[in-house]
Amino acid sequence: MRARRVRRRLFRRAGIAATAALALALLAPIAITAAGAFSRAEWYGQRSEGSEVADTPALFRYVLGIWGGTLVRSGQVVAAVVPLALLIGAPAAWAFRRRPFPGSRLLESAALVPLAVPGVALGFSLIQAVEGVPRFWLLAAGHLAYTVPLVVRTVGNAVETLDPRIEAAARSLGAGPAETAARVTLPLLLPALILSALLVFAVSWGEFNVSFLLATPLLQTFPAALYSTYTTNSFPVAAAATLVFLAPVVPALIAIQALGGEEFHRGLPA
Amino acid sequence: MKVLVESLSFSYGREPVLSDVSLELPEGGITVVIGPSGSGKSTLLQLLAGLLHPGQGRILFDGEEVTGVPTERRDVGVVFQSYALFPHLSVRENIAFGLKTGRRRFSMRSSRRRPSRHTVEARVWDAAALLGLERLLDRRPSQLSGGEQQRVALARAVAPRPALLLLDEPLSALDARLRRAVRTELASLLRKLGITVFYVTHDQEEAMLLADHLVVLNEGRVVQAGLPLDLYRRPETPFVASFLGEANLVAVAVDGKGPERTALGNLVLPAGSRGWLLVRPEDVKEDPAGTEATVTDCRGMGAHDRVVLLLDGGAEVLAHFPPESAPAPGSKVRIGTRCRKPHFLKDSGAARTG
Repeated sequence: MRARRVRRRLFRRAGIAATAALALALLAPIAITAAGAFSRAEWYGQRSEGSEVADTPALFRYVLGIWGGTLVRSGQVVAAVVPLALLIGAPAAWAFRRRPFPGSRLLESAALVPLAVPGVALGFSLIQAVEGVPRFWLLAAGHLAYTVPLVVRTVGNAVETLDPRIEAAARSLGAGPAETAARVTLPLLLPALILSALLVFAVSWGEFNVSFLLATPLLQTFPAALYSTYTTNSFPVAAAATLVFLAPVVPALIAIQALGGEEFHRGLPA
Repeated sequence: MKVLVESLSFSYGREPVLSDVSLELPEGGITVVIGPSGSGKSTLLQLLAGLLHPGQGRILFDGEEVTGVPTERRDVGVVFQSYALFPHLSVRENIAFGLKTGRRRFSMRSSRRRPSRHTVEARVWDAAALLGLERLLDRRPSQLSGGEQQRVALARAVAPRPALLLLDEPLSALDARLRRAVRTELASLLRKLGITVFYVTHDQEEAMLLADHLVVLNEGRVVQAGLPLDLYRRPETPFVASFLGEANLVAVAVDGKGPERTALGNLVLPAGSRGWLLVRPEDVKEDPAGTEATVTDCRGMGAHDRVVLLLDGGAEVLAHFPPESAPAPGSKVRIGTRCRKPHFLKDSGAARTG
């Protein structure tokens, strides 16, 4: 009896220790990056253009100066991809669940395939397949391939939990299909729609593979610039750039968690 | 509104759900459709609502065909088993929903404008008062009990004053005690509204209490339709007999004339036929001149004693005796029927007995 209690306590302590180690492993790189951005370059024993930048505000100004353009570009891509992914994914998700047709399950699963295709392959095939499309839209298409499946999955699960009789009730009360969508279906799917928008934002903002392959000197996204920073600049500069990158992502991730990690997990392929 | 259903058929893929269903809903009356699960009764309701569309057949509202007309233009109100309230709206907004939609009826004759804000408020208040919901108007559906949700669903359906009210097992989600109370209220409310009602249930007591016109559905076909008591007393098939209450069905083959000797005594029966005698448990009584039987089980149910009897011929008979009067199990009693001419179900040879 006593031995069992001791063993249980031991297990619990081991569990806490393992969790703490995991959290440390995940958070340490961010902490080191933050430290790198806010401390003196000499602290790392490196001397490069970073040391010419005396204080931290100047360091960030320097980063924004050289990579500000790519930051704007990334913003433009995200601004195009988020609404498009929702416009394509949400109606598709609704149709898959509410108006299933022979093979619709298969098609829904097939929509997840891009998630498993290497970005390099996808980017290259996009260049090969389409001609005359502006590079910006090619880039957006590449991002959509990765983000639409997330929307289909997240919204699809929300549609599944929505009693179809609620929509039927709206129809019986005189609301046509458009009015039913506007007054009943969309408001009830709102949490899932916001959640997918945040997911799409996080994925598109950080997407590297396709973006790197499709990038031209004039069309570079911020993650691609981040790569160049790490290969060419000093660590403090790279660290500062990373923090700039993380600035909008962290609030988005917190919002996703607050909106229901539950729904997010159910939204992922099993 | 008078509703006519003409040889309606519906199937999910190759699975037939309804086959050749014809019926008439009398204007202003309550038509109850009763049947076991899978009999197609909910499908029939959805066809009337326009939520499904039939493979064959026609539906006429007051002589106008509405078969292809979408739900929102049919002027129907629906109460679902799950209530299907709008969870994001307050009770007030739920009830007002149907008053604010761009409802356009199928018929030009009865088309109407969207009511003013003042009218909407008055109508919401009327519907709420009718169902005793005045104090719950600002609540969300999730803050209501099952019985309250059921009343909101009903208020929401009747607020736009539809010509036809469809109810799909509206009480089956309530617990037994509440169901009994609500059942009686609902019956008087539906009578008060005076609109044509189509009510789906699998509960026999509910059907007997509510129906002006009762339709028994089994395996997608109308088995029998008529006045509730007629169906109870004079069912045409053993299925109807046993679905509407407990029934003793005694198989008999009649060949001669005059009183026939049966397991339940000498009875007058139509000659030259095979079939069953229907003896309801309440029609079995103790009779010193009757057939001898052995009591095998006896349960006091309160309102009556439920007695299982074994006849000498081996047939089992269920009887309802007056309360606290039944003999002990194992004892012998003599029984007979209350009437000399019990209902005789002719065996037409049809296999559709369920």
